[in-house]
Amino acid sequence: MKDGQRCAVTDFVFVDDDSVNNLICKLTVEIVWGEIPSESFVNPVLALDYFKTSYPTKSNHEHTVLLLDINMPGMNGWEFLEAFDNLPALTKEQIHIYILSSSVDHRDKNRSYANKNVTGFLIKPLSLECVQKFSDDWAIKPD
Amino acid sequence: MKNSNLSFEWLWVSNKADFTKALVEYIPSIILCDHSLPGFTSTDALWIVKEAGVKVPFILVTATVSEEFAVMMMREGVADYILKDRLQRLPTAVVNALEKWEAMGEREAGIANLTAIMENSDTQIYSLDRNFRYITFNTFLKNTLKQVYDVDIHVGDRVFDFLDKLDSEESRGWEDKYTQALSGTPIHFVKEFKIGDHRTFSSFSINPIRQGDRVIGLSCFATNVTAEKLADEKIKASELRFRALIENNYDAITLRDENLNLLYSSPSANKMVGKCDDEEFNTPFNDTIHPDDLRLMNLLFTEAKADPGKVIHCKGRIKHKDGSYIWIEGTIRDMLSHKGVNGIIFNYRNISTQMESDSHREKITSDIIQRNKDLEQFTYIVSHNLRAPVANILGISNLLDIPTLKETDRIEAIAGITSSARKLDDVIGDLNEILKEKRNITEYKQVVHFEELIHDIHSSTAEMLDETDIVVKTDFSEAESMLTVKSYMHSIFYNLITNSIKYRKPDVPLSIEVKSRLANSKIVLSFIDNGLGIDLELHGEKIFGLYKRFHPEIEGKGMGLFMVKTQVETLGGTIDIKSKINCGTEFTIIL
Repeated sequence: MKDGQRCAVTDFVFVDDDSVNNLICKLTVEIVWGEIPSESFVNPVLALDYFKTSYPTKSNHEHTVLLLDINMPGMNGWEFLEAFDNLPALTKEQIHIYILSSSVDHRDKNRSYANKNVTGFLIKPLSLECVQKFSDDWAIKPD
Repeated sequence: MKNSNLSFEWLWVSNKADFTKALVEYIPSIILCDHSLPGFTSTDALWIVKEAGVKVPFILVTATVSEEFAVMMMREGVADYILKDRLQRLPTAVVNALEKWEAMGEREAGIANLTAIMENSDTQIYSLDRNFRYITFNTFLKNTLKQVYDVDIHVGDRVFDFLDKLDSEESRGWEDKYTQALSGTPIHFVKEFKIGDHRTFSSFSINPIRQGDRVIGLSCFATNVTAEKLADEKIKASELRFRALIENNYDAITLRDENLNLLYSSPSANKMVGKCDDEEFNTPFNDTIHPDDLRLMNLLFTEAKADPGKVIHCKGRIKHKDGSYIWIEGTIRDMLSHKGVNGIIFNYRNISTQMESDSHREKITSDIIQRNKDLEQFTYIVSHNLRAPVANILGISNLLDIPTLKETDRIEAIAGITSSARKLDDVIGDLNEILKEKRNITEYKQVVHFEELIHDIHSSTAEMLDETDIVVKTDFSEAESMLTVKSYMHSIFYNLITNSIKYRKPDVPLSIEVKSRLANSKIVLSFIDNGLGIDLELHGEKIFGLYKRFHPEIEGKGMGLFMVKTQVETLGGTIDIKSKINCGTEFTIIL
């Protein structure tokens, strides 16, 4: 399954208060990408802290895929995105954010695409097909 | 003459031409004339004086004269005659003649004046003796009677003579009036005459003429007042018409003076507030207006007074006799300086029905908006809370199909199915409860005592309340109970109190204060704690939302406040929150 050309994802971060979803994500990406590093957070604030402390410089996290839920207590997905935007540019450019929502409401989708830090909008459950296509979205970027 | 101490000037003429000239140019006060003059006689001289219209005393001064001649001359207007041998009488004769002449002139002038007044008056003037015979009358009366009745009247005619012929009954009516006046009472009246199609009105004034204590006759005056009378009738008719228009108007019409005291209040104005005229007049302006509208209304009246004639529009509530208030809309206009009005016109109409239907419409609109919000929220719940566990189950099912899945992962995944199915079941249960709650508006009401409610909750949450250092203070002295739906009140109290316990500060003893008070005939409930509090600037709008949770580290579904708000609103009340992080929370419910 691993492809030298496309195997650009370095690691995964899952942010969802629902731990079952985080488990599904972890198992699904491991089926596609094998033993790939991943972090799960049920509290989005802790995820932000993680980015602040672990992404100071260009590191082995060059292409982190972040799967972000919208509907969370305390800090929801939109609030997370606001806080995320305040992170250093160097940190942000290492992270590719996908909204992973149970929502079938088109307003959530439109709002996701309106955010410049969001790469894609996925509907739960995370499918194997989606995971295989992750790098396509940004691997072909000119940079 | 010179010896008699009289001061005078004199001119001597001796012929006819000089005499004629002197009459015009010298203008003497008295003429002393000899009988025999060169070329003419004293008779000629007197004739010249009369011819010239010169009115001065003429004294004949002569040597001899026959008695016949003297009498003849006196008849012709000579004031006196003096024989030349008795000239010592001349000064006295001159003075007497001048005095007499002056008095005569005055009387003549007086009569002439009176006659002129009578003749030039547009009043018919006549006087009657005690036998109702004409003593005098002016030409105007004579001409009028001639013109109207073709009657010629003469001094001495009885006043009833022609009336008897025309209308004997009418004649007796006049006799009564004249007789009454003869008894000493002046009479004044207006009488209508119908001559053909014409109506004329005369104002009569019949006054007794007295000589000492006796009434010797009547002086009567009749003035044509047809024009005034008809104009008056026209004004009265027009006033009646306008009054009828005002009094039958559905709108209220009132007039107030500059201090807003009532001057006029139309029947519809009285009817609107269920009062009679007197009651309305005895009510001060400030007591007729709703207290909340009083300031505005007074301002508007001040505005109207500042700009006389300007129409000021107003809307507010006025008080009905039964104490209720009526919505009115109208205009205020200062016409204090307008001669015919002299007041501030305040007209208005009852718009209560309109306001009610407006507020009814507003309520329907707000209900629809609320329903729509509920629907949106429901969509959100379906999208997130309902679909999330379904998505999990689907995701895990897909994973379980993968043969390479490790056994440990498989076990964990299967546990995920179970927990997701449970979550799904919970959400469906919650939704069912919410929908049931919203439908149950008609649940019966009973008197609920707040203290009992606290007691019930205390026993059902004994575990939570007893195990920790919690102080619950209550004060329901101002409002002990209310008629309401008990299950809702229980749920409201339960949710707010357990919330305070859940979100307490771990290191501080928890204090919960529940109070009731009365405000504007409504019951106000306060729930105050010293717990964690919440950042309202951040979460303000979402605080009462379904499945909204603000303390992820503390167990909860995000249902409590949603249910509280739904129930308060179902009971027709409002709920408000004040809170600061680490300073506690205060909920205020107005029912």
